[in-house]
This record gives sequence, C-alpha cells and structure tokens, in this order.
Amino acid sequence: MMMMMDGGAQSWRPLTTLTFRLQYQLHELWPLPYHLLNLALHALTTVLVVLLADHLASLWVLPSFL
Amino acid sequence: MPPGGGYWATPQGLAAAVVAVVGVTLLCYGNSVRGELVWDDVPAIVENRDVRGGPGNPVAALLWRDFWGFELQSSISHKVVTHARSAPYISILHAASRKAQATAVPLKRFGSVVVECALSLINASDTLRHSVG
Repeated sequence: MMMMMDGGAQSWRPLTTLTFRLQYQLHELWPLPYHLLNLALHALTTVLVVLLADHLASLWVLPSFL
Repeated sequence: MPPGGGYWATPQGLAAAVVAVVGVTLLCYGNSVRGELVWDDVPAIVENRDVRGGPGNPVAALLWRDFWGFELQSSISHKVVTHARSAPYISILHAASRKAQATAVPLKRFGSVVVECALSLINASDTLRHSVG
C-alpha cells in the first residue's frame, strides 16, 4: 500500500489491468466475477508451481526424499 | 519427460497434488468471492480510468500508465527501469546455470536448479502475484 501512499506508480501490471478493463465492459463493477477470475488464475498458478516442481525433480538432481 | 514422472513419480500422484493445491486455494480464498470491491480494489478498479476506458484512455495506455492509471513517467516509478537494468544480470545467471547444468558434477547441476528456481520465483512472483491483485 506504500505505493498508493506515495501517490506514485511503483507497479506496472498491464495484463492485470487489461483483465479489469475487459471485465468492466462485460459486467461493470459487479464484484463477483472479478473475484472468481482472480481465484481461478491463482488456482492455475498453484497448478503451474506443481508442474514446475515435478519437472525440476525429473531433471534427476533433487534427492528423492525432498 | 511425461508429466508425473518427476517428483510425484506417477501421473496419479501428480494429479493428486494438483487437486490438493487447487483445493487449498479454494479453502483459502473461496469465502472472499462474495465480497465487495474494497481497499486497493477502489483505486485499482473502481477509480481507474484505464479500466473504464473511454476517450483519452485507449487500451495502449496500459503500456505507459501504471496499475492505478497514472502516467509512469510523471511519477517516481522505477519499476520498468528496474526490469531493464536487471535483464543483463538475469542473462548472466541463466548462462552460468546452463553451463553448470551441462557438467557431470552433481553439485553443480544442483546449483543450476537452485538458480533456475530462484529466477523462476522472481519472474513468477512478479507476474502471477499481480494477477491475483
């Protein structure tokens, strides 16, 4: 929140804002779909982390007990 | 390398892990979906001119305005500059880690994985964290 307190731009997230923009055109400020999409994207992120871990382990460099 | 052949050993094990992390995600955040737009949602969405669009707010403006709809250049932002300046160092790390990966020394290969993990985390935290807002 410091970035807002400063009144400054310390974050640049064009893709995120693009999703907000598209959603605004679809359903304006109805909060539910914003939350649902964010939740879905976050779940997708966790899946990608799992796949990444699986792949890294397959490189045969991590001890099997980790 | 088929999915499931690594850490989780089997496709079934991998599938279970995927179900688990998605389940935990839903447990953690599922109760928020019925909430209002609050706190930084207000400047990021409700009051953001780039979200509302209209005259003077083309989609391309996303490239030169920040998360709140302010001009990048008019602020004290160094976010973009930071990316550009760190790029050479990231490249050097990648090159070093590729070289280490090619050796037969297990410790070096392990170090390579550590470096790649760190770089991936930096990259992921920067892009994916933002998609969660």
